[in-house]
Amino acid sequence: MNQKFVRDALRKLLWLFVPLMSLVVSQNFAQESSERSLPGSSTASQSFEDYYDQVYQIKVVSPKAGSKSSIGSGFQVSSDGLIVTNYHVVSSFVQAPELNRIEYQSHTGQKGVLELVDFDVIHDLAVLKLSSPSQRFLRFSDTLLNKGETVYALGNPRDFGTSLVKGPNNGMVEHSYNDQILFSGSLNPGMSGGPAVNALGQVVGVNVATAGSQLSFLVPANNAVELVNARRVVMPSDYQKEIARQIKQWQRPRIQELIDQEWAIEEFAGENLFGEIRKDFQCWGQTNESNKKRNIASISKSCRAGNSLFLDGTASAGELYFSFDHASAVTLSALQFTNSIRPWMGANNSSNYEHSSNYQCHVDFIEGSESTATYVRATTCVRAFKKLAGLYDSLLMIERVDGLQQFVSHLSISAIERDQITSLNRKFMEKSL
Amino acid sequence: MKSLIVEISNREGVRIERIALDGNSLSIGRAWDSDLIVQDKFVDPDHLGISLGDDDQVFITDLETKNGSRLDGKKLNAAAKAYRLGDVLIIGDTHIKMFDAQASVGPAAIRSNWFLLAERLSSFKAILILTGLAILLQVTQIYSRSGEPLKFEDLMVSAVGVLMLLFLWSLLLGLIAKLIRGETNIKPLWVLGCLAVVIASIVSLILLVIRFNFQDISLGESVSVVVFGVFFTCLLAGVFSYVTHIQSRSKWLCSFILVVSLYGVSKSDEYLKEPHQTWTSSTKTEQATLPPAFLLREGVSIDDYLSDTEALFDFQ
Repeated sequence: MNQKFVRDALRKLLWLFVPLMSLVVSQNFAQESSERSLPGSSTASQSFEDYYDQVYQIKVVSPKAGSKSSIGSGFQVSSDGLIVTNYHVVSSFVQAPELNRIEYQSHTGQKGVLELVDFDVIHDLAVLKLSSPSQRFLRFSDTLLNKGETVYALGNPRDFGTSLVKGPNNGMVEHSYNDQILFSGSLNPGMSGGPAVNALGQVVGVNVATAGSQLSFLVPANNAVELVNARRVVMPSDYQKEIARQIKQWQRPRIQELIDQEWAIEEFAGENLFGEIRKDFQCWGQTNESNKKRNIASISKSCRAGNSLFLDGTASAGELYFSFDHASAVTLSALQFTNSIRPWMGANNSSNYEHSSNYQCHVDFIEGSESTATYVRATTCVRAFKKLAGLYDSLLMIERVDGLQQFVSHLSISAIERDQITSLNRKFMEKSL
Repeated sequence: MKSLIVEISNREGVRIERIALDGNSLSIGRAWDSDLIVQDKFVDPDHLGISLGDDDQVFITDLETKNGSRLDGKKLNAAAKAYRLGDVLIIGDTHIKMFDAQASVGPAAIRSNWFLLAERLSSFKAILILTGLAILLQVTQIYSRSGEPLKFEDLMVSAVGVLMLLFLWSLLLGLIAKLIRGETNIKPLWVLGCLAVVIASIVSLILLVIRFNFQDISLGESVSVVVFGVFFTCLLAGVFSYVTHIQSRSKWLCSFILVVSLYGVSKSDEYLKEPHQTWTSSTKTEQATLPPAFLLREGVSIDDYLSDTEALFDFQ
């Protein structure tokens, strides 16, 4: 009772902070804007002066609350006033356009309202429109960035004022399905959506996220170029339809490849299983051997794909995760053991009532055990995205209980269409049984 | 003229007599010429007088006896006192109850099958076996559900716990029974308590096996609610029989209403929640997990399993 009260109170407290810090909480998005150096100038630093005033601070404001719910940076990329920023900077507007407004503030203090034109939820980009465009704007670089080349990221960290961060480009992030530039500079919240430019002042990427300690990520410029050049205008009533369409288009080949490809065999607890089945998967393992008082010996391994889509401060989608667990009774009898091993399943992506339904589950025993001393129980649970029609999160758990041993395989996938969920579940079941 | 049934009970047993009251007074006592002979050394030869007043009211008079008489706990004096049929009259060590010969068919229902059951199982041997069985089943259940190995002491503690619970149950309900019904009924309550523990253990094991085999949580929960609803209704009906005077039909009705309302109260929190309060990011499936030996049915093929999961994609 008491505990529940404290938990509720804590949750409310968090909610107060989430709107402001939403970018920090999830994946540590860094909102930063960078301006490029002046073209052809002798040194970058001289010319950057000119670019500071091309970095806009972008805010989502709720007129009722009268203050900002998120801040980020953005930069103008065309003469007609198109501004590029991150999708996550304006996500609270996308999720509730009728309750919010996007505002900007220029380096010189000029303020105004921006219109959302288009967004790319997969690469975390958004295009906004300025009603009174500035004469000057940044241009995208059309050459590939070399490893080790210095990149200058601009943005407005934590609302302290436009800042420039310098650091080397370290190429593309490994273990990621989407291309992301690994940038060794300190991006801070508020710099998200800001430009990262090369020494010539051409945009090579858009600031997007940080993992701390000079580990920051940029969206490659070509993703932004594609979005800007598409010249689409998405109407507020179609925002959710558009998010669903983009996720489906991204997930279809990403999941199909997993269904079609061979899964390289990796041994786990004496079984022929699999692990890092594609470059975007990373696996970790652990045992409880060091616990001398253990009643159950367990070995586990979990693998996770590196990509997750930010929908808003409360929800993410697109996670792929699987794990294996081998448990054997050390001190327990058969009844005690089975009583202790009922595994629990929960979502791997964050969500809430606004975004997802509750899970619906189906549990049954699978045939094919050679002896009566074994059974295989499979649990499938599915929940629907309420606003993204046709997309579901799915959990699958297969338990094989064999006397005093139990083996559990678990697959958790997010924001996938129904046919691919069934196909991937089938492959996972066949491969792990 | 009024025909009465008189129930005379003492340590030796119960004797039933029929007497007819008319204008004359009848006598109860040890004397051979009494209308109703009571063989109790503490009873006077002429102990009580019974007469019929106006409106067929029965009156009782203590005939200035050595040890006196008590009606419903109160001492009688030489004045005639109105007797309410069914009240307990005590003379010496003897209890006397009188009923209307025409109207007193009803009270037989008060002594229900529950008393029959309690009497059948009231021998020392039966009680010992029942108690032992209750403790054994409870301890087995605690042992098998434990997540860590249990020592002998732990099991002894559980056994003592079960005994303590039975004591508390019998004493508390016995006290209430004494207040309401006038008899403590500790022995029947003890038998009922043991039976409840034994039946609950067996029923929950059967339910566990059924729920494990079906693996359908909504079906499993409904079955459990119905089975335990019936179980607790029966148990309460038994308690009402031993503790109160309630008649058979109202006894069952009361038990049923009580069980349903208790269940309703315990679940009200859940039903009153708004939809967003019942949202959870975790899954809800049957918790019952047992060793393979308890699986009584065949599994399905992966194809069948996956086609069964298709229904999961229907959301309202």
